[in-house]
Amino acid sequence: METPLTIAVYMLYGLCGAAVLGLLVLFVLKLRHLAADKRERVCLEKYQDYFFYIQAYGEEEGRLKPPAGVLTRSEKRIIQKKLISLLERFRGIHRQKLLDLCEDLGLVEMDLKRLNSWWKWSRVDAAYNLGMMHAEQAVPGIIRLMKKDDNDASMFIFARALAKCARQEKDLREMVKLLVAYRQNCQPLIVDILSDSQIDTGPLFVSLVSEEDADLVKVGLIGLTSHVQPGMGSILDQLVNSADKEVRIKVVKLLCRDIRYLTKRNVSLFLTHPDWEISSVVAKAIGELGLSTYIPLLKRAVKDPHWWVARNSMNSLAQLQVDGFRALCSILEEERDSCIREMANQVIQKELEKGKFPSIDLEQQITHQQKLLFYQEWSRKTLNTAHALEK
Amino acid sequence: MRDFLLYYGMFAIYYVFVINSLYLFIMMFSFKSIMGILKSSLYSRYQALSGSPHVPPISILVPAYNEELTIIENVRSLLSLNYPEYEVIVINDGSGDETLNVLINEFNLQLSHHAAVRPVLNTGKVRGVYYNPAYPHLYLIDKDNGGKADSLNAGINLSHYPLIASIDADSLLEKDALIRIARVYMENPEETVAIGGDIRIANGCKIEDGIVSEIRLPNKLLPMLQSIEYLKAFLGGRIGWSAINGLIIVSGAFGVFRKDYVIKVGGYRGGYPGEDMNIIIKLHKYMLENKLPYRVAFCPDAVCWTQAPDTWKILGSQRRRWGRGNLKNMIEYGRYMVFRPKYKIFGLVTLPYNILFETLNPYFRITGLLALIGYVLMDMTQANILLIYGALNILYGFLLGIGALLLEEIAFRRYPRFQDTVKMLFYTILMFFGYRQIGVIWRFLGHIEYMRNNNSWGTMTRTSWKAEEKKTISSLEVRG
Repeated sequence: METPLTIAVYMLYGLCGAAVLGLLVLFVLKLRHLAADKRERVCLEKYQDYFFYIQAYGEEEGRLKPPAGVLTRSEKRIIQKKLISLLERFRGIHRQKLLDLCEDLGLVEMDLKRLNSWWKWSRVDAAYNLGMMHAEQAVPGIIRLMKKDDNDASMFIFARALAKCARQEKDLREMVKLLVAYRQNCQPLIVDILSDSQIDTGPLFVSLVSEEDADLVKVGLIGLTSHVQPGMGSILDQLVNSADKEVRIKVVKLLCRDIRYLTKRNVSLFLTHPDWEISSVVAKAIGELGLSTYIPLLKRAVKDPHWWVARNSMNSLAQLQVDGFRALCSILEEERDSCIREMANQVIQKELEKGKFPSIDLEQQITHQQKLLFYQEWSRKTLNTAHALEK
Repeated sequence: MRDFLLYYGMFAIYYVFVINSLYLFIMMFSFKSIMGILKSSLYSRYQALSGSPHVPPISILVPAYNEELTIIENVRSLLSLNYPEYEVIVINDGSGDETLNVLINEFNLQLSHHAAVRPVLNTGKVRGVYYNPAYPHLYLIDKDNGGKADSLNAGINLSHYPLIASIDADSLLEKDALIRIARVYMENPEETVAIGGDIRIANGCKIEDGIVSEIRLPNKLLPMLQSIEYLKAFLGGRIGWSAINGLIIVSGAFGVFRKDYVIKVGGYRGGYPGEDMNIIIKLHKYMLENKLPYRVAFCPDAVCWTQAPDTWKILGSQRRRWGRGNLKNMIEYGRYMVFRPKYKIFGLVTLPYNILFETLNPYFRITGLLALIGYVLMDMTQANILLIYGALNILYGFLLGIGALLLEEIAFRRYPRFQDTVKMLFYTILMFFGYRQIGVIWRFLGHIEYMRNNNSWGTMTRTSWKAEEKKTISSLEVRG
């Protein structure tokens, strides 16, 4: 019996040792953090006047002067943090002068060296700082890190830094390819990262749309939603038939942003497309864009077996002034399927309920009154017909 | 008999050692991930991201049952989140108090009989949907009482977006909590099926306009002990479990889910507590059975502040409910999935850990202690064995507490004062003198309630955030 208990006692000793060690590390860390906070406070106070100076003289001619005296490494770090926060707030010449100041203070050089540090998180810190300082010299180093470093979330930090530093489209293209290779299906995040770039990313998105890799095409398509480019019709038309379903949906979403692409042929094709998502997107877009000419097509689409297609078609009909609303009411008379009739009634009532809330838009008020008037007349007529039939 | 008691007691000692060692092992994964989490959190520009058109829209579901005291502050805080596109759907689950009326009056909501509810999940009868175009992102569903799961399902039926977030009506989200979770989702949208947020205790904090404006540790004993418990569970445990994709629960207080998969697994299960664990188990099961790549992630920098029970009665009721929920889930799913290789880490590590060290924990601990007491009573010269058992429990628990505080200090530093760390360390030890033991008994009682088919939610009283705020201010005034 002695042996197992002795082991338990040894375990207790081990735990005691580990707990003491843990406590030591915790307290050292805490004290270090508190000391760093204090150092930062003191430094910011010391250079308070200098920060006033760089904010006040940001619009003046000539470069901003570095602070007087020799800066310690820790002071440089604290000043850099402050400058980065200012860089996020300023634009134009003021920002450029702050970027020049970062260079003059040797901050760019300091972080360029840290890009080669053996400690991974120093490299990440350096890449972030260089990105915030828009340091073009850092581009090759950051690309190298993206290629070499462990595949974890730091890839996105490197990518954002690269987007800020890059001055050439080819660097951004390489970054996009590396990110897509690292993780598929994060295209919205890639586009968001690219939006941090100083250069026009429109041509990059256009060229990505023509790539063979579907993931790159998706990046291009998402990017084009906020970078309208002329003459894309033929490429997009081809992609509507892509083998990748997501590409097809994204293309149609893009097409739905421009009335010119919503021809009768296209709308008719999309509303009966095998991908319900495509039909649903187009049905919704018709209402949003106010395309009353497609009311007959929408009336057909309300019979679609997919809930979203039917619902969006009805919602769009309700949005398309009195004509659309009239078509919606006619569904109640003509349709045999009770589910469709019920849904149509829901949309009609919801539309009429909007009158409960006072609208500030006069045009909206008039349209609502017209719909209400039509509905009252229509329901009276329908009731009379029903009574006559009963007799 | 004496030998049997000794052997069983020894078994209990090694059980405690193994359970804590496994927890420590999981915590090591938390340490491994923490720097990545810290840097990603530090260097992700949330302000810019919260205005990005590429962030996925989210429907926030807020089930509310008798929440008249906290609901307005909560909804106001939710309506002012830093997030580009989202909607807030409050589901009044047949409250007996004024929850419905305070919401209608505060936001001037109007009954809409014809809202677009897509009945993809079965729920109790929906009496109506309330809406006001002046608050275009706010919906209120009024329905018959059916429990939290039923309310969430009703919210899903009305929701318009592909992601859903479930949030307790007594909790407050930090302004950028949602955008932080969205960042994690955007890094791997295809595989991410659920993401949990970090839950912290708001008792003691200063709350202004539904926002935690000053972070303080709780002043009362019970919330303080729970604060330590949450820190250990969320930072020490969940970061590690998510690193190996073995997370078994995303807290019902704050979690984000892919709506399509929640619908595919049949939505939330009603009738029993523990719906937050149940939905995650079902998601694991579905994804693994269909051989789909997936992950259940945890985002520790997305913080949700919640009110912790501050009386023994309410806390006991909550813990018994958790015990019932855990047992139900293990009986319903655990026993079929445990040790089956097709369920990978979840079946081979998470579930065995949960069954052996969470569900069965009260039995081993109580009987082990009783065996040791019996053994010592038979031979008082062997009293040291009881001391060893106690010391092992306390020391290992303390070590895990230190680990959690280290993680907090490395990455988050929400409690920056030195005295806060000392106070938390003190309570890490204090919890082993009575609190943990009562917790074990509550779990055991929860199991008994389950056997007796008691499915009530028990006592749950809320305190107004304003009252909490006043209390905090007055206590600060008292302290000078």
